Amino acid sequence: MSVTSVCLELGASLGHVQDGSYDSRGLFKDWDWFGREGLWGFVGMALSLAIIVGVCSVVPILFVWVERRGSGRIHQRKGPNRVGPFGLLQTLADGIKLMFKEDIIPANASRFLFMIAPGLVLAGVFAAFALLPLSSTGVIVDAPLGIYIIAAVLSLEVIGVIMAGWASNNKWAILGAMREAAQMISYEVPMGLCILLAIICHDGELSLRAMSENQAGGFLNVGNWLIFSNPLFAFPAFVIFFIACLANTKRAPFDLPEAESELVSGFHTEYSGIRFSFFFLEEYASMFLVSAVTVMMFLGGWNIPFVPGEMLTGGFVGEVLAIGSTLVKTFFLVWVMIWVRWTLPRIRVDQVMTLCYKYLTPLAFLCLLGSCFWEA
Amino acid sequence: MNFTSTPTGPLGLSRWLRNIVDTVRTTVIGMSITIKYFFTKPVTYEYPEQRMPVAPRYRGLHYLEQDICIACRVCEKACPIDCIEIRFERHPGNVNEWFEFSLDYNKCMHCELCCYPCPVDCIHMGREYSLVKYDRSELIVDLMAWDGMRDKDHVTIQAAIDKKKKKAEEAAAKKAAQAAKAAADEPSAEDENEGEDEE
Amino acid sequence: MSQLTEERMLDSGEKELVLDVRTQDMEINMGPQHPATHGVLRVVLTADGEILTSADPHVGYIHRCAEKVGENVDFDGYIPYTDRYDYLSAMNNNVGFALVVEKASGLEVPPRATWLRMIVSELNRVASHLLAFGTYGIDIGAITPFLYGFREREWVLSLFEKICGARLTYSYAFPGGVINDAPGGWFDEVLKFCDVFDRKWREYDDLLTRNKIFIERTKDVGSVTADQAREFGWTGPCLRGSGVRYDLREAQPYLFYDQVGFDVPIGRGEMGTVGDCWDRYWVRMAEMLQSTRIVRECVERCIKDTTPGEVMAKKPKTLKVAANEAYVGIENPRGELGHYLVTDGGAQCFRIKVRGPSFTNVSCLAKLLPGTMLADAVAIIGSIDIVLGEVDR
Ligand code: SF4
Ligand code: SF4
Repeated sequence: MSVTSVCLELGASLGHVQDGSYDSRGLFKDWDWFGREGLWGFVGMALSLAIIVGVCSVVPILFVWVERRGSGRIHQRKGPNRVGPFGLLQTLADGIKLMFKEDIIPANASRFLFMIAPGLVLAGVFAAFALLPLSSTGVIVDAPLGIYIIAAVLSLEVIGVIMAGWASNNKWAILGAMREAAQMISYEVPMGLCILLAIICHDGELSLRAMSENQAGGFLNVGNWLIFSNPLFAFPAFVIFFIACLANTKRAPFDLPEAESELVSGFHTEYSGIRFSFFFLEEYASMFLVSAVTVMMFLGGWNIPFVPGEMLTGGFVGEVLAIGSTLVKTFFLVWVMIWVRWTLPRIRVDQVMTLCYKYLTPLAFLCLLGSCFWEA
Repeated sequence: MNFTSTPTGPLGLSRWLRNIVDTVRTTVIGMSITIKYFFTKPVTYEYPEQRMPVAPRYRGLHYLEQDICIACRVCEKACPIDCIEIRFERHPGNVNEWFEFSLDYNKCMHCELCCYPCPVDCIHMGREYSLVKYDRSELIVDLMAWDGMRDKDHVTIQAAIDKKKKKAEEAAAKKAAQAAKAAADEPSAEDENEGEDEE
Repeated sequence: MSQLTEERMLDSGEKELVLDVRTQDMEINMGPQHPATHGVLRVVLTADGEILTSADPHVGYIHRCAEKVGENVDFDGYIPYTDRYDYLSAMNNNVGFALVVEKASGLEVPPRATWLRMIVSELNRVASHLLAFGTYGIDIGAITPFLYGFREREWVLSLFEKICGARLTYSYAFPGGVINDAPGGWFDEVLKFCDVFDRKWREYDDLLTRNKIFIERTKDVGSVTADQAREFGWTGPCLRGSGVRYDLREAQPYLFYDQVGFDVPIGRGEMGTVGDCWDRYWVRMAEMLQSTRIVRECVERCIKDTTPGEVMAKKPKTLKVAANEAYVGIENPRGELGHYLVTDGGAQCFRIKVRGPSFTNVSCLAKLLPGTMLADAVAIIGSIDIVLGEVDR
């Protein structure tokens, strides 16, 4: 999906919000920023931006810690344990170190592109965070086309990566960037099919918030979770979507763009200091994002067993519970990503394509077709 | 020769399904192994605080029992890369004034070859292994236990010198007496007593 | 950019249109500082996208004149230098040089020393193959097997530390025997290690060897037929991976290898073609089990047949060898390590020539890499398991 389509869709969905044709339930909705002009609109924007940036930078720090400690335990070693309790502040310390490191730009690099590429990569994820609901009102922009915009905005990343690879004037970097482009674009096919499946199963809802609400109720408030209500087709689709997410976030076994044993460091070989940390942040932020999207679509959103769905969509306690349950599920998926990374070898670049087009795409089609009949 | 790595055979339905099953099965097996180790205790040592116990025969940094060392330079010769340097001066009374027994740890490869041939078994390899220094020159380590000479060495040397002097005096007196006794005799060997210095 | 430039007649009578689409092959410099080249190997690759069109290995970055040094130090003094050509199998190197000096000088080695040499050689083979296993995992992208391999390897190194005092450069076997007898309880620990290791080996098998992704990455990649392998001059697991049953321990037994029972695993093309990366890898894995089997038997014989303490032959302080020449090849973890020694009656080698297995094995890269993908290149280099310390010496 190209930049233009992203802009068009974003505009369209915002338009929806404004003309009242969609029951929007964004965070601070009562403040009605888009209706206001001048200072208050600005303050609202600034506030939501601050929240996004805050979440976007805190969450990766946590995940980097989880990854390091977790991999340490898997390897029967200790992992970082020096800075802060259990080494929690290690990532922060590393971040500070990266900030003070020299920002090296290779002599023959395309300076401008080299400099903006990391920002562009990070911008996609930041933007997608705005559309991510954590509870029924815990969303900054509740767009009616939510899931599509997220998919579109996420794929912005590939532009930044290609830019970084090309601008570095490094052969390993360009190889990494090419791999990234091929991989990202290919894996959007099964990903899109799985999204379609979810949309069909959720009565044509495109908003993640609505999808999650749709999964309330049923047996123990679990029965309506998509993977349980449609186990034959939605469960494989969930797995396919998760695999495609792994590929999209460049996580092992799909870490070909940065494959450290083949391409040195892939597309960010030449990056150092703060610009490198942008790529680093982006990886973990997008892990969180795609996991949250998977939870919203397939794993019942914020619904918890034994707690009636209505309780989670209203009132302060319900909100907190809902956010908590979303986060717990998301963290679990992120942990699975980490766990997979420390288990599996990397696959080869042609096998990435084979896996996508010969296995995942047909399977996703089958699931899609099957659930059409299932839902009918 | 053609070494290309193309997949063999067409991808039939049964192979397609088997591939999926295999992938899922082996992935699950692998993940069960890694998660099993997730719940086990780490096996590593936290280095600066915890040190790995070293074996009794560990070949670490050398230590020298300088009291026993007879400065025979056998170790210096045995070292294949000449990283031992011995400089000393032998004083009367069989006392060595040490200037240097230095080991260049920039070069030393901890092969223990210097320790085997020592006739009095006074150079050993210790259990210390940390060679962390700020400068390369700090790695040239002096193994001498004391600086040059100890106080009691001075006493020994003094005693030896006194003894030598006394002997020389005695000899001179004897010679004088002899000379007086047999005034017109042939001159006797003068360097008779010289050889006793080194004993 | 493309335009029709010429028409060509093919032999079959068809007309072929040649389009002038000029793409330029990318010349990539892999190494000397590259994570996958296992040291300072430099391979100049040309790549058409991901497909390699040519490869040119450059070696010699850590040449240390080991052979020349051998002409200037005495026989004992050269042992620490042998540690350093293949630093992952230093015990075997020590044994190799000690054997050649013994052959030239006619020194008699006490039997206990020979058994101890066999035990440490086989343990070192396990340690070396464990590292090969782990780094191969890293080459393919799995990091965890590396650390699991190291966990067991550390145990072997601790065993070595107990017997000789060093963890990497052992200098344990000298002409005439070995420096130390095994300390008390050492044999028991060795046996315990063998038992634990056999259990862990099954885990490696599940975690990496049988992993579908790993199999897909390594099967049919870099296949070498038996004839090609012989042409390359390969020895060791690489040659056996191509299906040739040639193991010096079996073909020309040295030490007491003719008195112990073991199998020689060879590649059978279990996953793809014979002699692919998976086969080479598999031979190494299977050899580790054979090694523990040999170790068990050696420990038993060593305790039963020999008297403790007799581990070094009586030899003069400075060993002098009359004018003679000798060649001894031994089965190192990476192949045949040959020492060719010429003596002239002095205390030094007149000439020592080392035939390192890694050096011979690495020569295949120029033939093996073209036509494969970049990721396969890493897999192939890893499967040959070279140690650059020995390539360059
Ligand atoms: S340990 Fe080896 S290298 Fe070091 S001083 Fe002794 S003989 Fe020389
Ligand atoms: S061989 Fe022993 S006695 Fe001789 S100089 Fe060296 S340490 Fe001293």
